Amino acid sequence: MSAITAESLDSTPADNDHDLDSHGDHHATSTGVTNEKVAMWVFLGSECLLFGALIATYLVYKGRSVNGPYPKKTFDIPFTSVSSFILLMSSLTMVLAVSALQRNDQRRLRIWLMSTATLGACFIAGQIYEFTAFIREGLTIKTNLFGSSFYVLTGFHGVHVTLGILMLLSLVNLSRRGKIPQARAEVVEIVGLYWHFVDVVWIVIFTVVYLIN
Amino acid sequence: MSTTTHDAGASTAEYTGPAFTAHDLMYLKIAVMLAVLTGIEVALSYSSLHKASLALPLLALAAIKFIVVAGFFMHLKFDTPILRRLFIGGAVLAGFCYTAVLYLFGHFHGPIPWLIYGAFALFLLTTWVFRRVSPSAEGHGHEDHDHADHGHEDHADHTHGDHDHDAHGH
Repeated sequence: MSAITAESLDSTPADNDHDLDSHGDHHATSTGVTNEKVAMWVFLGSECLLFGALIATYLVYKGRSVNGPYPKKTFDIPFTSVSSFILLMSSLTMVLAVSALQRNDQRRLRIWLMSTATLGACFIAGQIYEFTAFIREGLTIKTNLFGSSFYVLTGFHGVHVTLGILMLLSLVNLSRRGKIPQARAEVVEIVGLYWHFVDVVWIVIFTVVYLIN
Repeated sequence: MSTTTHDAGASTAEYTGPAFTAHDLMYLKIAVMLAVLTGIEVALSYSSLHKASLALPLLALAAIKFIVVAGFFMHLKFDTPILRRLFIGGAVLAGFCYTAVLYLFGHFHGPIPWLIYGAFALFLLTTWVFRRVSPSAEGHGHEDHDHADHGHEDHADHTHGDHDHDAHGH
């Protein structure tokens, strides 16, 4: 990744556009995109396999519990639908953050990044509430196969969302200190890719785990 | 490079252009569409239809949402083909692998695995058609790499002249 230079920070938006356009020339790779971006996509491809394994494990085990509670009586679909909606909307705010930085609008970049982190935090709060309600109903990770596979799957996803929130807050902090100029919009884009992936995984989990019950 | 320089650079570069661009509005429309699809999914799950017959439309809706988020929000539709291949490769490999696992564990009966494999084939065919239809087809990777511009086209028009926005399929 390119190092931040004093020239790039002191430059006008038009100059930054020039930097952005010449980015590929300065850091030419055989793929035509930066290695960081390729690495993120490779990572996301491998994450597909991880979450695929967790979803498959859930599907195999959910109907094999010998004692309750069972999925049908446990899930609160309206509540989870609202959580899903919140996470979907966080993808919108994330893409608006990337868009704001691409036109060097640092203030809106921070606003949208904070909005994304807040929506993500709301989702996590919802998940904690949901887990607490399930535990009160007697479903713990040790109760049955459904409980074990469900908590592992949704817990892993929750950890991913939490890591994403930390990355977003780091970006807000870096932006406040002026360390994310327009020429480095790709840094935000890469974090955005991770965030959208977390959203995409939830789209699948919501349908397969909650709706197809 | 000093932190002082960073702070000075950040405070002097105040953006004065439009708050939203045409692309932002497109993202908003996509988000509304995703919300509507989620609403349809939830409504379907409450319908009196048999659960087994609900699975296919629900999975189809999830697949549409997946493709839309990956294609537009993750810019996969506009980016270089290698990124598309990396991600779709991982997703399809996972799909094939775990469908086989579920079949082995007796989760599926009858022709369901073949239906799922058919859905994967349909997915691949759709992405191929998307690439054919989209002006940002393979071979324009470097133009598309510049998609960083598509959030500030209105602003950037002044500096870029007749910049090729159509390379992004808009």
